[in-house]
Amino acid sequence: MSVHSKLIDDYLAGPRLLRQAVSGMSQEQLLARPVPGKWTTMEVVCHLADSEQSWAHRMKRIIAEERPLLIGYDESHFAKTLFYHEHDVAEELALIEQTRAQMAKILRKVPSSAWDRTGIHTERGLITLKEMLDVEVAHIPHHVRFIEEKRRALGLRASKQQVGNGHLLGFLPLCRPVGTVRCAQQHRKTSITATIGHFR
Amino acid sequence: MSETSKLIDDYLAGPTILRKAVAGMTREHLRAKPVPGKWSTLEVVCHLVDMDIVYADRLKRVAAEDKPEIWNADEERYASALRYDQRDIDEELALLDLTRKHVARILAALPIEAFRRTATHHGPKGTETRTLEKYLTLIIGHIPHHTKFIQEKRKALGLAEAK
Repeated sequence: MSVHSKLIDDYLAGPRLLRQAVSGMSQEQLLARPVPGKWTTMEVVCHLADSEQSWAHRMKRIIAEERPLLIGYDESHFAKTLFYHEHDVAEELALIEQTRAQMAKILRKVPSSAWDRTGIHTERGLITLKEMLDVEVAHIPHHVRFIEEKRRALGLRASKQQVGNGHLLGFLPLCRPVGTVRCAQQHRKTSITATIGHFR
Repeated sequence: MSETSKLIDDYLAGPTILRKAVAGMTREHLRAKPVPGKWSTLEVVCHLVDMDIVYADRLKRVAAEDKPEIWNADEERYASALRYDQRDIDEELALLDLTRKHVARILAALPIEAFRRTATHHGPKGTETRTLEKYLTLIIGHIPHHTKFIQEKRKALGLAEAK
């Protein structure tokens, strides 16, 4: 059994949180921007899908290569230029699920020593496999909170997890919306807070 | 049909080509290495899926960023370190389908001139400027390139040629 089985379980549970967060939302609600200056729910989901692909591959690189250079990208620019509103929410959710299923299978098999392997991220600096997984585990709950905010602004009921799985959101990092669609800074705070405050 | 929509259709057709190539193979067949010194069929499939995720990232970067720099990954240890032999073929094929559908939606929304956007590609043969169209063409060729070798393995295993 992996030394980080629980963390891998949490990683696998992420897509369900997202599914619950968007459940019952119509296409119109998914594309609405009820909180001025912030992403639509669809943009959040597509950002998470892009990010899943990118981070899964980065974790693979750290496992299989010698201290690879991991090149960041401007996520708000991706959101503006990659036609997020042309995507299909069901496809995006399935992609996130399937990406994590594949990656979890790999993570469960890595030797204990692999968790300290490192890559160099162009924005975050030196990062271990374990820290990357910490960031990934915190990423979906981080954004789910903002989807809940949009649900409220749209007059929708809180999603089930808000009521039933509050504990899962309890460890969310203390990062505050900054009144802009750019969330890179929030992500950095997420990773730092999550890594230092909640997982170590 | 425009040139780009033909490319997008070909890109979307890739997973079906791969599914046909492995049709009817048991887990034992998939993990066998009937051609000495070459990958098993499962390793080929995992290679294609892992690379497709890298390619998805490249296509998005070329579409979104201003002349990004793109480097080839060092794949030498991927098959062993990333446990290709332990993967599940159905999960791999499903991931391939979803990856291509996700990227195809972006490609279909791009204006035609976006296919002339470029990146600086650093590969084993040196550095070159590549257009989005060139990347897409190369990516489309990746699955058929490897299904030829899967056919070779089928033959060596005494299996009927895939349709």
